[in-house]
Amino acid sequence: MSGSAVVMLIFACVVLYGGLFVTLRKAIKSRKKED
Amino acid sequence: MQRDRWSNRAAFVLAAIGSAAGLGNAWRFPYMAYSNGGGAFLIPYFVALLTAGIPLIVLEFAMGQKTQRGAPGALAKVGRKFEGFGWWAVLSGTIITSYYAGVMAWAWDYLAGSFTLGWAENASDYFYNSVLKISSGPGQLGGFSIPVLIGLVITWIVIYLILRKGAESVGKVVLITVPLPVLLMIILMFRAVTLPGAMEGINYFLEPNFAMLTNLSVWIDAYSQVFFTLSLGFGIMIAYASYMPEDSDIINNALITVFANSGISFLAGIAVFGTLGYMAQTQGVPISEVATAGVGLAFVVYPNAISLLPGGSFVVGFFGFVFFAMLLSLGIDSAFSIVEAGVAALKDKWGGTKRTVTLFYSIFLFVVGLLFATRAGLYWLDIVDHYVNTYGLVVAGLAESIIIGWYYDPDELRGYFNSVSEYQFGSWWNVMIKYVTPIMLVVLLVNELIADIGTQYGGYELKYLIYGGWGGVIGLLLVASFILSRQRGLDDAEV
Repeated sequence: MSGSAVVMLIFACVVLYGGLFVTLRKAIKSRKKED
Repeated sequence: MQRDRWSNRAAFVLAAIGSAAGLGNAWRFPYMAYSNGGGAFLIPYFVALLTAGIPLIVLEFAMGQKTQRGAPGALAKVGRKFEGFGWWAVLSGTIITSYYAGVMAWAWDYLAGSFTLGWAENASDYFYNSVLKISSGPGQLGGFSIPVLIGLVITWIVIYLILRKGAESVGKVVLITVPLPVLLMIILMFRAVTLPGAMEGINYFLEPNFAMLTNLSVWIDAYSQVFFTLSLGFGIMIAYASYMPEDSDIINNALITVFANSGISFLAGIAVFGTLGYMAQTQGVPISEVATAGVGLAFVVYPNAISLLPGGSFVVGFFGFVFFAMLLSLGIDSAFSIVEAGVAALKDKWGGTKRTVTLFYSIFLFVVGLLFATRAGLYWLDIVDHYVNTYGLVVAGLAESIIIGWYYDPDELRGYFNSVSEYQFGSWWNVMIKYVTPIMLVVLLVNELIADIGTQYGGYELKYLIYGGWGGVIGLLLVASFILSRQRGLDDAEV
């Protein structure tokens, strides 16, 4: 795989799975607060 | 009457993810990225998510949750004259489910074929001659293809059983049907990346060609991909959100749905292009010769690639089973969510028990979908799919954004969803709903309209495009939406 493809792979993973992680954590935290 | 309710927030979010993540994530996104600049496509894709996808899905969640109605009822609460656009959205979904179930019928046949390796020798011959028993053109219906008919019956029985208790039964099913395809996709991805040639294939998927970003069609494709992948314009997200209490979170639920859906598409891209890279190397051909999208990818190219896997017939059968089980579990929650959008709209309007409305609506859709189980089904599917996606859904999304942006106070809706949400949206959301989203949807619409007027879609004779497109889809949507919106319903009686 070329260097630029690896950069795009990392970019996509950070945005998509990082975004999913942050939003899920926020939802879990707010649920704990409600409990 | 007590409204249907999700058992908890997770059930709603999983159902929304399940609805958004469908067959298109596996067979449309990877090729769309590959043919629009590879990794560079991610930039217009993310811009489209931010400027149209996220604002619209938040709009649909907010409308459903605030009004506690399906799409027609929700739009009628903004103004009685707008109800017809809600029916337009629901009816577009109705048409789509009728053939989407047909595609799932093919997947059942392939799943069964994984035990006999029926598709392994020549997937193209298996698909066209054994499954579809395809005729020479749309005018030659040629009776039913029995394997497709059996698959169609199975699909509708499954959909009815899942939906018969509404949000309660859906909430339980999505606990399985949302994580399962992700797990199966991860299995396929790991198998793919360990094959020779896989990295070359993934390189084709991800290597950026930034020069292509100056091409308008790349941006149009990105907006179209985002719009279709999030199940927008069907009224599904409005119906699903209407089963949440009015004080539930909206923005974070929408963001989780968007990130999960796009994450699934990206994962599919790695699995698909890794496998295609292996196939290209094994056959000694360039990747461009095997890269494709849609039905051809799922039912011809990918099964062919699986049949080339090392390890003998058990391995081929196993990975075939995994792939088609993934397609079925990806597709089933998209299919039943569209049916649910229709059931919610009908129940809101005329009442009735969940089971009865679901049963009759499912039977109706099964009967309509019989056209796609004929030997000419693939031709009709191609025609109807083109017109309902291009005009049905895009017009519905356009109407939603214009109605909320220009005929309703977007500040009021934003005030509502901000007041119940964990994250807050600023006035940029108003700008997106009032200007950016409608402009991009108009560009999509005009672009397709010019293409359709300039050439006859798919090379079909004009009469078939009129039966299955201009008349059968657009004419039907116009007439049926108008008639349904003129009927008196329960909400009118309340007034």
